Amino acid sequence: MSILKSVLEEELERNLRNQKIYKEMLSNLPKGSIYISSRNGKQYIYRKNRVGKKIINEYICALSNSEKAEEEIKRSEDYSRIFKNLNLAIKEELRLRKALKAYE
Amino acid sequence: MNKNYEEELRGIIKAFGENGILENIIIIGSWATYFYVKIFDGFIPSIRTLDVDCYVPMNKNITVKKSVKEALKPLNYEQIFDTSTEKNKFISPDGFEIEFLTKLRRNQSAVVRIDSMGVNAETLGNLDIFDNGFIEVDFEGFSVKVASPSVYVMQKILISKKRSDEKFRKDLESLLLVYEEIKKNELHMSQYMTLVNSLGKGTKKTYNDYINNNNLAMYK
Repeated sequence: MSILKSVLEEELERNLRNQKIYKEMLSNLPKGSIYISSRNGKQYIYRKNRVGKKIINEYICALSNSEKAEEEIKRSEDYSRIFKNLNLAIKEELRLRKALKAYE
Repeated sequence: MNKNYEEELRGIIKAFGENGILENIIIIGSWATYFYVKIFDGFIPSIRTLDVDCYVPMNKNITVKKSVKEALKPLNYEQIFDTSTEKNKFISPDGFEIEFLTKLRRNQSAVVRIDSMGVNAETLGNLDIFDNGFIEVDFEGFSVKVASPSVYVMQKILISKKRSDEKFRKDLESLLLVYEEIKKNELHMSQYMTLVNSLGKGTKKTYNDYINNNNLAMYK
């Protein structure tokens, strides 16, 4: 077997494994983006999420609850980052499969 | 060598260098050979792994500017933990994986927590050989500690029994490439000979067995 082919196959195997890991990480994080809304001089954190055709706005906490607010903002950032990484991994999977086709 | 892989490594070195992580680690494993182009004229490394192994000698207090996780975030790395073994590694969407390793000490568990870096380093045998077995190369403005060629070859030989067939084959190919360069260089050959001659009885037997079983024309 060509060395390059075996390297590509190994990379593809790893890629699929990593995609699984990313999906698992995402399943443990809340979906949606965080935004801050002001009311009566106070600020509140909400999570916006699309469910089917609907946009759901979920109240999380007052911004003054800094510990919880920080945690939720971080979780939202984590979700965005990992989601982006999953998409990059999917693109990489396509590249690897295309490269492997040359060996068929 | 895949251009993207070189860029990936550059990014990792830069992230580590800017955050005080680089001075606390020694690059071991196949990616150490990437840096040998700096010391061996015309050397072309043959690297067929996406794993970057970082040895942490832990012979001094470790202080860093940012944890490894934070340093690697801009490069799209995620820190993942194996809940059963507590081992961790950093993965990227293009398949690179970075692991931290440290030497196995008596009565020590399989992983050691390095709080300042925010990593769990896996403890393995035969890694203490790198404590004094490294060189420093200048890489894009950063001083990078990598396994010295002699120690790189020796460690590959000493761990060979524990390797799978495929990894054994890759290791053999890699160490022979490096040994060819060592032979051409008086200083490195002298270091290699000193290293072989300093081996204890049991280790020397392991070394000699490897040379003989694989019909290698190497110093013994």
